[in-house]
Amino acid sequence: MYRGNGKLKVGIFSLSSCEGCLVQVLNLEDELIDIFKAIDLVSCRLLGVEKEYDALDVAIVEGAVTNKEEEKELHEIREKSKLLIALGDCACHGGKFIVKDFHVKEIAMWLPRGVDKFRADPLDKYVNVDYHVYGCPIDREDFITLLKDLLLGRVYRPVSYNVCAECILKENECLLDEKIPCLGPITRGGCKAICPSHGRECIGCRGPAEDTNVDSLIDIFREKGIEIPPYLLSLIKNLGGAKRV
Amino acid sequence: MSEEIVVVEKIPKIEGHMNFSVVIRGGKVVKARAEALEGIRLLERLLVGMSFREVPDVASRMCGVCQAIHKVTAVQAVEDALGIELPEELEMLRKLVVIGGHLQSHILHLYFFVLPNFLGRRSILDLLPDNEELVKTVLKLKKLANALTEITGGRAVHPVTPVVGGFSKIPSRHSLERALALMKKFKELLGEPLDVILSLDMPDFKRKTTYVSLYTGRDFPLLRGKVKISGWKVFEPHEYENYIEYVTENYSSARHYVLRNGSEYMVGALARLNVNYELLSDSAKELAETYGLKFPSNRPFDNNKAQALELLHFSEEAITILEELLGRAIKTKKVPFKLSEGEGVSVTEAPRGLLIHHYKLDSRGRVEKANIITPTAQNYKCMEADALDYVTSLLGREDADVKHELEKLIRAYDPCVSCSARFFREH
Repeated sequence: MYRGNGKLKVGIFSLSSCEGCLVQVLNLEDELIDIFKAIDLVSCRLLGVEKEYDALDVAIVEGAVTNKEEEKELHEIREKSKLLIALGDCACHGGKFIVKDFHVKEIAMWLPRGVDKFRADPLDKYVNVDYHVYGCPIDREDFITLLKDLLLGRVYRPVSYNVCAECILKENECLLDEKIPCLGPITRGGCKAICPSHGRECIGCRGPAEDTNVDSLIDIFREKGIEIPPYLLSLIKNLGGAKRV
Repeated sequence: MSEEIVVVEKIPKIEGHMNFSVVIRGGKVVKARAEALEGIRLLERLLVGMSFREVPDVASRMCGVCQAIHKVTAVQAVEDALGIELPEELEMLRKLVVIGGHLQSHILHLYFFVLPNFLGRRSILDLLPDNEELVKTVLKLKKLANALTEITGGRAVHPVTPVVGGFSKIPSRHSLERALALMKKFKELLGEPLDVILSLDMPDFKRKTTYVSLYTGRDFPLLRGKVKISGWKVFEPHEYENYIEYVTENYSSARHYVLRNGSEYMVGALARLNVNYELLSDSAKELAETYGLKFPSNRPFDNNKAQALELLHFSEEAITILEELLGRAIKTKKVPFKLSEGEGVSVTEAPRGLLIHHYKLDSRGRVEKANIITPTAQNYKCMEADALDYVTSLLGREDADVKHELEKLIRAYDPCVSCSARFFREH
């Protein structure tokens, strides 16, 4: 991106989320001061940065859209910024990997502050998103890669392969062999297989890997005699929308 | 009668979105409102129907700052429902996961959120020109705190290893030795940053209220104990519904809690110290004396200083636990258990105060009922009561000044709005 002689004008915004992805950015303790010096951070409520600006080079948006105010705020951010980045799973997928097959219509609810229905939507349902930084939470190194790409005017490309690709490199024992229903084969990598490396099944927080084949994972489960637990069925539905599930 | 409403909109440097408004009528402060604005994420409703295995992973997503304690509290509540008891070593390891989270959370609050305002700056970025060395030390401390959670929990934000029945992976002896070295380094670096917070001149605002904290009488509480209401009662975790209740306010997307006797109450570092001061580590107590701090204290701004003292206390506790753990073998990472119908409650101390997770499971281990009470939800009514008095004492000052002071008062509570804004009411 051409940005003349000045520093990149960056705004960081939070919609509804746990703000853990922003905490991950602040967890870049070794790089944080350099980051603050390399960019012109003009807005970040969590840090108390509120400078005046007309236009932004980059808007980094965390969180899902859950109400009209947030929808409006998102549109305003989009209008002001050359690039818009969805930071973390709530912004990328609406945080749906934990929401699973919850249907709000099935339960009558009273919601405060004039909200008439529950929703948690990804940003690209409303605006054009230039880059997605996946994960719940995001991986700190992904954020560094993103910043470097932005500063160098390069295109940011998230990892396209699955979690297994990284898990194998770490020489982990395959959890599927232990009959643990791991979603690694269908989930986008980049997390360095952090959960399987700690003896936990991948829960699909980065969304589907590119060209993923959900049906074949179900075949693997069946082949290995892994009972497909109901909670993983609902996860798979959200990940790839498999017809057979 | 003339009416004026002072509103601090979208308070910066707190976790989540909140407005705070104060109504002044005829020269008197008549109303204060803590308005949680966070989109409603309905986590308790989402948990219903889920397997007990998923509960901790989902519950930890309630908050990105204090996720470690949410995860462990959820795990403990499910374990309570299933009648699971852990060997002492695993309990100790759980404490380490949580202490890393507490240290990280307190550092974020004290140095990223609180300090800039007291030094007349807007943000930690503005501290860089004059205080770069301090900021660097603070960042080092934060990294060391996160490393403790990473070593024991697998990841700093949303740790992965604590699971129902124990851990999915136990850190190696080598990693625990590394953690010990890191915590010793943490304690060593803490001196100057603590001095900066403890010598801050805070408003001398006092108000009598009730403090609620976990209490064991043996140690400074973290993950286990009874609950003590200052000046009233000590009760068992599963009795909580007999002592606290919520009110819903149409201006807020969070539940606001009060005691059953109608009184507002405060939870958090100040409440912990007010209830358990004698059990704080000796060096933390000495430090308090050096700076002339006395507990119990009814100054809400002392919550900041209580957090600073806890940084020292908890880092020392981590060192003690690590030394102890290195002296014995961790025999098992997980205890076997059977699924059964059951109901479980876990009450812990989160960085911001008392945290309650309560789950009812059916015979297949699916959640039938979930109730989560976060510290901030319990503090709203106390913030409002404080704001009434504090703003009364500021009447006559410029609006901007009042807003600034109000902001500082709210921030002293270290509110975490994302955590609190989840309530729903079924028809």
